[in-house]
Amino acid sequence: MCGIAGILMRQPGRSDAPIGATLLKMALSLQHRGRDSAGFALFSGSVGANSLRLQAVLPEGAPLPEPQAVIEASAGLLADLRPEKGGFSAAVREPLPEGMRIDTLVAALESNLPGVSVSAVGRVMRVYKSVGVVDALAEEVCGITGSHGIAHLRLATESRIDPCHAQPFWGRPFPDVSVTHNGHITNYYKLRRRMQEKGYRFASENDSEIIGVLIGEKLEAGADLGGAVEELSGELDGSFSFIAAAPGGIAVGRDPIATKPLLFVETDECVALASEPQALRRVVGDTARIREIRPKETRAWEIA
Amino acid sequence: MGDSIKSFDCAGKTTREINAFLKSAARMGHDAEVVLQTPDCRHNIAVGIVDPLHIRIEGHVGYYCGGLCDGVHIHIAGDAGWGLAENLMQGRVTLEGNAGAAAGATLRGGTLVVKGDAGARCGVAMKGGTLVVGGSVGAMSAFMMQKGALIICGDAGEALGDSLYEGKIFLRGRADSLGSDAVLADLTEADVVLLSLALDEAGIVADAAGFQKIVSGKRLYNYSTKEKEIWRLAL
Repeated sequence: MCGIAGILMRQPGRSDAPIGATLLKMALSLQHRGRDSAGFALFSGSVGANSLRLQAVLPEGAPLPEPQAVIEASAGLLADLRPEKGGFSAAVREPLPEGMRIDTLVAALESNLPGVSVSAVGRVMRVYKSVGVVDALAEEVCGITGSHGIAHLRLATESRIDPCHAQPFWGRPFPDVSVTHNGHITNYYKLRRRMQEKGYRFASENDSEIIGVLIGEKLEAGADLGGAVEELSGELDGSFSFIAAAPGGIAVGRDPIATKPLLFVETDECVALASEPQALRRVVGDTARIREIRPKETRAWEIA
Repeated sequence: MGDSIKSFDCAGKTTREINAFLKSAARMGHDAEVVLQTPDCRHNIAVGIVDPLHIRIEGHVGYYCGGLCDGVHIHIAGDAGWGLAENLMQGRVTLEGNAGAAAGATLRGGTLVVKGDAGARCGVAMKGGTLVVGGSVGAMSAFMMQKGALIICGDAGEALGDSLYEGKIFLRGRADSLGSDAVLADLTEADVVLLSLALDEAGIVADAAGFQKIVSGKRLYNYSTKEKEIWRLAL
């Protein structure tokens, strides 16, 4: 099992809600569902107003690369380097040179700096990951405000335990797309091969990563988040409860047998989702009506 | 013994401490009700109690509450997670709110009442007892049921009673679909008596004659080459 959680504020203009502290509170109450790694993807601000930023994680205990090495590895396309827990972030100089795409920049960085793994690129989304329990990220996320976000507590059942295999996964190479997933995608290799044949590169060997990549592709093709998740749910095989997040909101999908839990609660102020009810009770109190995402069901909520 | 009500605040206690307290009260033959406060959706509360005890839980509980018990009476004033009263041997468990998946799984005896809705696989592999759901149940409820009675006052999800061997399902609302080899049967006078009694005891007002009865068609008991299609669906 793993623990997943999500929150979205529903009041118009409420992009300064304490989503970091709220999701942290929820994640702490789900800690028993997985202690191998933890992570958050938090959305703040508006896409048009924010510049593009890249985040990268390093193997546990590895030293930060020299700033000059990062700048050289990115052919000068990264600037404003800042250390973060377990890695660093940097601003992406825009516009990118003609013919250059985000995935080209990511590939160059990762091949020139062995061990560096890009964990996210986004204008409004920031991803924070760590191995071990969620406490390790408390300081990093508790002060972050925004409109929505997702979280993950991992109990590893396959693939390595390191920051790169922690969730939420970025839907690389699509900026501002991420997913938190509980379950196993049993047609993962087939889907991954299909995407690799199209030129997509993966950061990990974890089956959950495929979900965000497929959603990102559908969003780029013009689907909205709810439509992308609905279409994808029919393509995935295995057990899954997942929450996808993009700048416009969040969406969920659940497999037909419903072997992985996913509950939600809606109030005038927010929508909260989690694997177990105590995470929701921490946000909405004891009397709110908690409901279950039904087998095969998909749902989407947009920010106001 | 004429004991007075015992209260136990679960806040700050380990699950092991909570269950040790309950087991000790049961072993000592505590007559009066034991009240658990601040359960906070915690898993595995009141599990493995095999001596009679009355427990009132003031709040929501997590997974497997009341599991592997024999002879307990538990009243839960809230919702429950997965596997409520799993494998109950004797006694009565009443939930005021909604239950997660697999409520009453492998129920052996006694009665489980869920006054709200129950999730998927409610009453899976029941081997006896009575499970009353005041609301609706999720998909694949009573899957591989072997004995006992599942009473559903609301609707049922897909594949109700799939591959059941024995036992009876009573449904007041509608099912999205019946499972493989689950068939409708006529309601007998004995069924109406059973239903009336169970509903009355559960405090649910419903006309017993308004339920449909679903039982095993028993076509999966033996393999028949003429029934390949059923086996394909069942497996």
